[in-house]
Amino acid sequence: MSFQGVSISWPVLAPIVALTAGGLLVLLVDLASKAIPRGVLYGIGVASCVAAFVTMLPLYGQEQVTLNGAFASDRFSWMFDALLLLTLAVTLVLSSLRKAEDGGNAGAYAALLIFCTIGGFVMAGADNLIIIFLGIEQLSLALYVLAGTGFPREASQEAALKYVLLGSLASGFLIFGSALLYGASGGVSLGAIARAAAAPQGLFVAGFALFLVGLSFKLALTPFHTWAPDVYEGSPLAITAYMSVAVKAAAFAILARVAYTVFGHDSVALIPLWGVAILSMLVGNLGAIRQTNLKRLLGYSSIAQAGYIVVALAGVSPGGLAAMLFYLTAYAFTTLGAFAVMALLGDGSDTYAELASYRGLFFRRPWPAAAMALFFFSLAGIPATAGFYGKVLLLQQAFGGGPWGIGMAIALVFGTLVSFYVYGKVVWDMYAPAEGVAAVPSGNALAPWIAVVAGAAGTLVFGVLPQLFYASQPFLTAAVR
Amino acid sequence: MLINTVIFLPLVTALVLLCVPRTASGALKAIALAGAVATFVLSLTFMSLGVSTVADFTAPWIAGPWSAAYHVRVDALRLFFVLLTTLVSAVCVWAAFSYAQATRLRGFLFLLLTFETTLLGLFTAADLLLFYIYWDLMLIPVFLILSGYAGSDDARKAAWGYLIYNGAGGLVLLLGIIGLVNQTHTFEVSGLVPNLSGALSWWLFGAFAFAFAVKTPAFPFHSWMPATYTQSPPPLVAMVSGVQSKAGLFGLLAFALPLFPDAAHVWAPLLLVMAIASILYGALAAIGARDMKLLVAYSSLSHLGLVWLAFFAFSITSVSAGILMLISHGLIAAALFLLLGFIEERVGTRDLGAVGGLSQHAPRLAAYMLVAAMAALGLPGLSGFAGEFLILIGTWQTQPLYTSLALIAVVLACVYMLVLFQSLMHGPERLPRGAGPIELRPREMWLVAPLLAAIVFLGVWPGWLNDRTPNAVTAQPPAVSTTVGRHA
Amino acid sequence: MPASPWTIIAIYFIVALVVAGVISIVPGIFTRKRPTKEKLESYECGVPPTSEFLGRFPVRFYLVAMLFVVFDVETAAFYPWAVKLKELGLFGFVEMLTFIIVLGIGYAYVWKKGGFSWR
Repeated sequence: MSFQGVSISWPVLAPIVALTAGGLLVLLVDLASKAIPRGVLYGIGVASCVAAFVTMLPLYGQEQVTLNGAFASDRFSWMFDALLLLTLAVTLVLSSLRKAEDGGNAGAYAALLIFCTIGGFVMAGADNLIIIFLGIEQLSLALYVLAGTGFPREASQEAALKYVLLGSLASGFLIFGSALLYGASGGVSLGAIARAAAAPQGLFVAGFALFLVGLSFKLALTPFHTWAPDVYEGSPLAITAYMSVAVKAAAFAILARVAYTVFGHDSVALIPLWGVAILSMLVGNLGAIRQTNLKRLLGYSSIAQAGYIVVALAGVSPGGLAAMLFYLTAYAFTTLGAFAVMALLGDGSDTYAELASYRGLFFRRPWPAAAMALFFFSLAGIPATAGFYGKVLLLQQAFGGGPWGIGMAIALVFGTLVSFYVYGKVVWDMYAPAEGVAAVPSGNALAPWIAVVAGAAGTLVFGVLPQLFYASQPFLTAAVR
Repeated sequence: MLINTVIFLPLVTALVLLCVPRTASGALKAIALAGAVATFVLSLTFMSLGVSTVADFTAPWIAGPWSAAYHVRVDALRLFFVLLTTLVSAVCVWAAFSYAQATRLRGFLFLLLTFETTLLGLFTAADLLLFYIYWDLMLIPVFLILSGYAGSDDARKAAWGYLIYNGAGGLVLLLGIIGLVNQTHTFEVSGLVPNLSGALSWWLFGAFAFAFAVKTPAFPFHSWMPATYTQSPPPLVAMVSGVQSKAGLFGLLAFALPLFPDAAHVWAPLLLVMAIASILYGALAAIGARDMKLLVAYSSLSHLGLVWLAFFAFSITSVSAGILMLISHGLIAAALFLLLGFIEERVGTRDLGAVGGLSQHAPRLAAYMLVAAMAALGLPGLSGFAGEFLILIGTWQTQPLYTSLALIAVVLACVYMLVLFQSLMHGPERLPRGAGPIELRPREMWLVAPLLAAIVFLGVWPGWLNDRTPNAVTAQPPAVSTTVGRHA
Repeated sequence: MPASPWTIIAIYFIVALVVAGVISIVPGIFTRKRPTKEKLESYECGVPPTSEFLGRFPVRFYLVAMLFVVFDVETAAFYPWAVKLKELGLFGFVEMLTFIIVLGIGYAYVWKKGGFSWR
C-alpha cells in the first residue's frame, strides 16, 4: 500500500502491529475486572510474543525496506528481533512469579514491557536517524517507569530517578548529534550520512561524536556507565535481566548498522569507540571485583560485556556481524539463565541478591547452584560454553582490526582474566562452608525452572556445537546494506 | 570409536554417580572405581599402536571462515600420556575412598573423574580448538576441589592462585592460537607447516611457550605451585603433579615445536636458561623445604626443568628421553604424593620436624617410600634413572655447559630425597599426639603397587618406551626431527 | 569570512553567550549592595511569601502534568491533520482513528486505575 509517496509494507510491520495489539489487549483485559489473575495478563503477553514470532517467520531471509527506506527488515534485524522476543518472553515469565516484581500492577507492567520491546524492534530495523531516535525513546521511556515499579523499595525509586535523569541526558546528546549529522549531510537516512562520511567535515565529526556519546550512554560503555550499577541493583530483578540483554541488543543493532553502513574498514571515526570499548572492559571487570550484591555485580559485568561486544566490530568485516550476533545470543542465554536462577531462589526480599546468601548453596541446592556456576563460567568464557566460542570469534575479529584491534584483544584477555576472579568468586562462595548465612533462598517454582533449563541448554549447546548457530550465518555477510 | 570410549568413559561414570544417592557410599565407590579401571583396561588396547598404526577419529565440527574438526588420535607419542593418565587416575580414584567427609564423597569422585576426561581429551586432541577447550576445562575440577572439598581456608586461597595463574596462561595461549588460526584458517594444524612471517611466529611461539611454562610449571612461573600442591587432597595433587603437569610439555611436543620450528630455535637460548633456573632453583628449594609435600613439589619443578632442557637441546636422544622422563616423573610424583598423603592423614601434619622414625612400626610404608624416593633421585634400575641418564647423554652433545649445570642438580636430588626419607623413616620415633597406626592398610598397598610396578618396569626396560619415542617424535610432522636434524 | 550558512549560527551563539554573560556579571560588579530582609525574600509578585521556596507538594501534580502533556501533544497532532484531512483521504482518517483508539485505551486505563481521582 502506498500513501502520498510513502510506501508501506504491512508484512514487514506485522510483528510490531502484533506486539502493539498484544500490549493493548493486556491493558483492556486488566480493565475488565479486578479479579483477573496476574498469570492471565502475563500469559497474554507471552502469547503476543508467540504471535509476533509467527508473523516474523515469513520475513526470514528477506531483504526489504519500507517507509521509504527508513525502516529495514533484513536478516540482521530478524536475528535481533528474535533475540528481543526471547528476552521479552523470559522476562514476562520471571515477572509473573511475585507481586513484589511489578508492584502489584501487573497489567501496566506487562504492557510497558511489550511496548518497550516494540521500541527495540524499531531500533533493530532503523535505517534513518529519526527512526533510530524514535525507537530509543520508545524503549527508554517505558524502561524508566519499569525501573521504578519495585517502588516500595527505596533502591527502586533511586534507580528510576537516576535512569530517567541520565537517560534523558543521553537522549539529548543523541538528538543533538543527529541534528548536526543532518546539518552536515543534508539527509537523515544512513545512506545520506554515509555520503557525508566520505569527506567528513568538522560538523560531521562533532555530530557523530555526540551521537556516539548518546549511544554509549545507552550501552553503558565507560565512561558513560556510571548509572548502570545503581540502576541494575535497584530495578526489579526481571527488569534488570531485560535491561542487560534487550537494551544492549537493540542499541548494538544501531551501532552495528551505523558502523557498517556509514563507515568502512579502517575508518578513523570509529577510534573513539575502540577506546571506549577498552575502557569498558577494564572498568567493568575491575569494578565488579568488590561487589557484594549479585545484581550490582552483573551490572558491572554487563559494562564489560558491552565492551567485549564492541570488539566484534573491530574489523568492520562481514564476519564481525556473525561474531556479534553469536556473542549476543550467548550472552542472552547466559544472563537470562543467571537471573532466572536468582528469581528461582528469591523469596521476595532483597537478600536474594546478596552474594552472602549464596554461601554454601552447592550443598543446600546443588542443581540451581550448578546451573549458576555454568552461567558464570560462560560469562567468564570457560570452554564448552557459548561464552567461550563467542570470545574466540571476538578475538578473531580483533586480530583483523589493526593496532587498535590488537589493543582491544589484549584488553579483552586482561579483562577476562580479571573476570575469572569476579565470576569465580561467586562459584567459590557457593562452595563455601555455609556458616552464618543471612537468609536461605528457598524458592522452587516451575516457571523460572523452565528459564533456567532453557538458558543452560542454550549455553551448552551453542558452546559445544556453535555450528548450529553459525551454519545459517553466511547470510549475514550481505545483511546490512 | 574406541578412543572416544576411553575419553568419555570417566565422564559417563561421573554422570552415573550423580544418579546414585549420596549416602550409598558403597555403590558410589564401586561404580567410580569400576569406571576408572575399565578406562585403564580399555586404554591398554592402544599398546599395540606404533608408528605405522594410529587410532584416529575425525568428525566435522565447525566450518566457515575457519574450520575445526573433532579430531582425536592416539599415536606413538600420545599413547604413553594416555596410559599414564588412565593408570594414575584409576589409582587416584581408589585413593579417594578415604576422603574424610562421607556425604561429599560423591562430588569429589565426580570431579576427579571429569578431571580425568579433560586430561584424556587433552592428550588425544589433534585439533587446536579441542586441545584448548580441554586445556581450560582442566581448571574447573581442580578449582572446585580446592575450594569446596579440600576443607581448609588455605586450600580455598590456593584455589585462586591456581585459577588466576593458569587462567592467564590459558588466555595467552588462546591469543596465540587465534593469531595462528587467522593465518591457517583451520584449527586442524597437526601436519601443517604454516607459512608465517618470522616476527609473527616468534610472538606465537612465545604465547604457546608462556602457557606451557605456567602449566608445567617452570621457573619463574611456578608461584601457584607450592600452595596448590601442598593444599590439595592427595588424590588431586597426585593427578595434578603426575599428569596435568605433563600437559604443557606435551603441548610443546605435539603442537608448538612442529608448528614453529624456527621460532623455537630463536627462543631456545632463553628457554634453556629458564630450564636451568628451574632445575637448580627447584633442587635448592627442595633442600630447604621443611614441609614434606612442598619438598616433593619443588623436586617436581627441578625434574620437569630437566625435560625443558631436553626438549630445547634439540638432540633426538634427549627429546625422546624427555618423553620417558615425563612418564616416569608422572608415576613417581603420583606415588610420592599419595604416600605422603597417607602419612599426613595419620599424623595430621606435613612438618618434617614433627614426624620421624616411622619405619619401626610401618615397615611396608617404609619400603614403598624407599622405592618411590630412590626412583625420584635416579637410582639405576628404577625409571627415574633411565630418563635422566638418557637426557644428559643427549643434551651433552649440543649443550655441554647447561648439561654440566644440570648435573649439579642430579647430585642435589640425592640430598633432598634422602633428607625426606631419613627424617620420615629413620631415627627415634617421633609422632604428634593422637596419631593413629601408621602402617599401610591393604587397600593403600594395593593401590600404590601398580605405580611402583610401572616404575620398576620402566627402570629395567626403558627401551619398551624409549624405542618407540624417536618414532613418535618423527611421526609428528614436520616434527622435532627436522629441527633436530639441523643441529644433531 | 567563509560563506557558510553556519557562520551565522556560530555568531549568534557567540553573541548570545556574550550578552547573557555581560548582563549577569556586570551588575554584580557595579551595583551597590544594601540587602534588607525584604529584598532577600523570594519575589512573589509583591505578595508576602507564604511558604518556603523549595516546598514539597504532592506527586499528584506531576501526574496531572504528565497527563496534560499527553493530551497536549495529541491536540498538536490533530490540528494539522484536520487542515489536511481531505488530501489525506481515507488512509489518513484510518490512521488517526487508530491513534485515537490507542490513546483511548490508555485514557480508559488511567481513568479506571484512578489516575484522575485526587487522593
